[in-house]
This record gives sequence, C-alpha cells and structure tokens, in this order.
Amino acid sequence: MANNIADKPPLYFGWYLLAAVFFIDLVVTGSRSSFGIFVLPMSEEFGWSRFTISIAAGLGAIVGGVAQPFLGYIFDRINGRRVIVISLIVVGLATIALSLTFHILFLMFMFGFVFAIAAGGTRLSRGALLARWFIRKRATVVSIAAAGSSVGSLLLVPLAMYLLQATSWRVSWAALGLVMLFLAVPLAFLFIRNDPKEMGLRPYGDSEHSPSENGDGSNAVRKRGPLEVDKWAESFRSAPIWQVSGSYFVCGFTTLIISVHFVPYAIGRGVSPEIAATIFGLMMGLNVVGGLGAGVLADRFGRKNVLAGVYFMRGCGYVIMLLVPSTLGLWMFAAVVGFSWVATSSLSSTLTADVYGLKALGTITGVSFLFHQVGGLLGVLLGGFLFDVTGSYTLPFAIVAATLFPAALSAFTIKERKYSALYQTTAVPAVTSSA
Amino acid sequence: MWSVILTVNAHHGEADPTLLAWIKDLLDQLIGLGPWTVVILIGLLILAMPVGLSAFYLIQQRRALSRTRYPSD
Repeated sequence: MANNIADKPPLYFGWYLLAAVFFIDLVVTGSRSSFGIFVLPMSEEFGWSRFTISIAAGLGAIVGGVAQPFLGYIFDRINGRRVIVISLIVVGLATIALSLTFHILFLMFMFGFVFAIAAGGTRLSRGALLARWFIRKRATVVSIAAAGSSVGSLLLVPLAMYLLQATSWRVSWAALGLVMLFLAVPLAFLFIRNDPKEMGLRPYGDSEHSPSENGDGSNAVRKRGPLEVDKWAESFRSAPIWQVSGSYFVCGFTTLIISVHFVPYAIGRGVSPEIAATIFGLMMGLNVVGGLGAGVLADRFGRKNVLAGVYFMRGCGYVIMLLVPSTLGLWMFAAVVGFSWVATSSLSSTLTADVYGLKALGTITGVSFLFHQVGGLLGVLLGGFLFDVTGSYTLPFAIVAATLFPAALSAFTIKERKYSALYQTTAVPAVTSSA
Repeated sequence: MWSVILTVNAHHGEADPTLLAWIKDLLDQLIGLGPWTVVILIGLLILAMPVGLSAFYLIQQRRALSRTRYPSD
C-alpha cells in the first residue's frame, strides 16, 4: 500500500496552476464586487452623491473592456506570467491605495483606471494561460477557474460587509488589498508559469496523440485547426470569431441589465427586500454550479452546442420572468438564468482557443471581451431609457429575451467540427509559442 | 437614469449597493453571529486555500525527491 502511494506519478503541474488561477480570480473579482459596499460609507463621509461615486464603477467597466485587447496583446507577445504577476501586484496596491481616498478624482483614477486595467491583466490567466496548459478537459478547467470569480463574490463580499461593520471602510479596503498581496501574489510567483515547456512538460492531454522523442515537448506534434492564426486580426476574417463575439455581445447585453435593474424591478413587482436578496443569492449560487456543469458538458458534447444551450436557456428564463406573474416568475428566472450566468465566458474563450490556437489568444479574447462590455453598457442604457419612456421593464426585458435566441442560433451554427483543432485528424509539428 | 447606468455590475462588475444592503440584512438574520466572528471564519477559509495548496505541493515535491533518491526497486 505504502509502495503504491510512493509509486504514484506526481500530480500534473497544471492542476496547481489551475488552483492558483482560481484563487487569483477569487480575490480579484471578490474585491471588485465589494465596491458596492463602500458606496454608502464613502459617500456619507465625503458628501458625494451616489451618481458621483458610481462614475468610478462605470468607468472601471468601460476602461477594463477597452484595455483588455491591449493587455492580451502584451500577454501574447511578451511574457504572460509577467503580465499576470505584475497586474496582481498592481491590483493589490491599488486596493490598499483606495483606503487613502481623499478626493473623488483619486477614487476614479484608482478604481476606474488602475484597478480596472490591472484586473484585466489577471483575467488573462483564466482563458489564455490555462489554454496553453490544457488540451484535454480544457472547457472544464477554464470553467473551474471561472467559478473562482463566483466563489470570490460569495466569500469576499460578506467578508468586506462584516469588516466594514467591525472597522471602517479604510481598514476594509486595506485588508482586501493585503489579502491579494500576501496570499495571492506568493501563489502566483510559485505556480503561474507561461508554458508547460518551462517545466519540461507538455500540455495536459497532448501526450495522448503526440508522442515526443525526448519527452520535453520540443519535438511534439499536435493537431492544428485550419483557422489557427499568428496575428489576432487574421481571426476576424473568418466567421466563427464573429459568431462567438456577437453572441458574447448579447451575453453582456443580457446580464448587466438585470444586475443594474434588478432592485427597481423587484420593488416594482412588490417583492420584499429579503425575498429579492434571497432570489439574487440563489442566482449567484447557481452560477457556480452552472458554470462548472457547462464546462464538463462542453468537453463531452462540444463547446458550441453547450454555448448555444446556455443562451437558449437564458432566453427562456427571461420569457418565464415576463410571463409568470408575481414572485414565482422571479424565482423561476433565478433558477434558470443562474445556471447560465458565468458559463458563457469560459465556453467562449475555450472555443476561441480550439479554433484559433494559442498564439494570439490573449488579444482575440480581449477583443471579444470588449464586445461583451459594449453590449453590457448598451443593455443598461436601453433598460433605463425604455423604463423612463414606458414606465415599465416589460419592453426592455422582452427585447433582451428576443436577442438571446439569435445568439443561441449564432453559437449553434459555428462549424466546430470543421475548424476546432480537437476534431482534426492529422497532426502537424508544433509551432513554438512566441510568448 | 445616469445613476442607474453607472452602477454597472454583472459577472464583470460591481454589485448594487441597495441589493448588498438587503443581502447583509438577510445574512444577519440567517447567521446571527458578531461581525468579528464572521470575519475570522471567512478569513480562515480564505487563508486555508493558498496555505493548503502550497503545503500539498511541498509534500508532493518531497515525495518525488525521496522517490528519486530511494527508488523502490
């Protein structure tokens, strides 16, 4: 028995890397999600209106979206590990700096620019970096990492809430920053590696079909999709990236609107704060399960099928919410939509990696993310504008629901079997990554 | 309307302060513990993740090292 344990091969290093990425996502997203908690105490202390302080949050979302392709480019061309580690240090320092806030411009600069851009740098670890390490189970792995952001919100938001109650907003910001610097940064130093080759390893699942002569991956052959690109712009000359990004635009369009307008909508339907909070909590809890489940299913049944299913499911959720009256409609909406909340992110980036390869993946997924953020902003604008005009959320939510079915169709019609490297039957010599 | 526009959230953003206040009230009712107790509990949970991972990695490394020094056969 003891010998059996001793003879077991060591755990593949990619799993440690995945755990580190999960934790980085947990603390970064958790800290950013906590921003809402600080709105009230900070605005009370400085006499700012909610509108003023909200500009920092809105700015962060826009700046983060615009910066993502550039960060992706640096990740692809220079050094992925360095981008992630430096970004993480900057996020930690920016979070601590938020505890020193003395002016609204300082808050806007620190949260809306520095934090937002650096957080985008850490986000690259989830899709682009993990894709380099995993071929088999890629969707599952990326989904596990994405679940880190959901778990982060579930853990760090309550932590910040109670810390704020026990201390002050300044101490709470500083504590969140210290968590990043003293827990996440050492983990990143220890486990974040650019490429399996750095460790003398091959990507997980690569060895099954691409034996290497010397075992270090240098002579490895791998399957290459017909659309694999060296430069990000080349990818936008083919249909799949437009299908992925177009549907990702709809993802942003349909998620941000519900987050921003959920509270007024719930009040309008006569729901009590306790019930509304429980419904939203259920939705957030289910998104962990849904995100993980989608990854496992995508590895089994194909990425585009599951991606299409997720959009279709979300569309049905909106229809149910509009058609089923009273609180029951909201509960059903939360149950259906909760499963689809974060699943799209990991499925989209995995599909992009399978079709376009790894060389420009950071930039391509960055551009896709920009689509998402623009869609989100337009969705929020539309929701507010149509509510002001009609006095109800029925029309904006109906429009949102209507966009989800074409998005499902767009994802479903991606020719994954034709373009994804996973379905190619001939292997070509691996091209060394420039990063 | 602009105040609503700028409280941007979702899976890549920040949560609505009103909703968070509701969630806090709900948690108070459900948990019923003092703020420091909750902070310590969640803090320990968060701390356990990187510490546990690093410890596991070191154990695995030590095991691999001893295997190369003292092969079983």
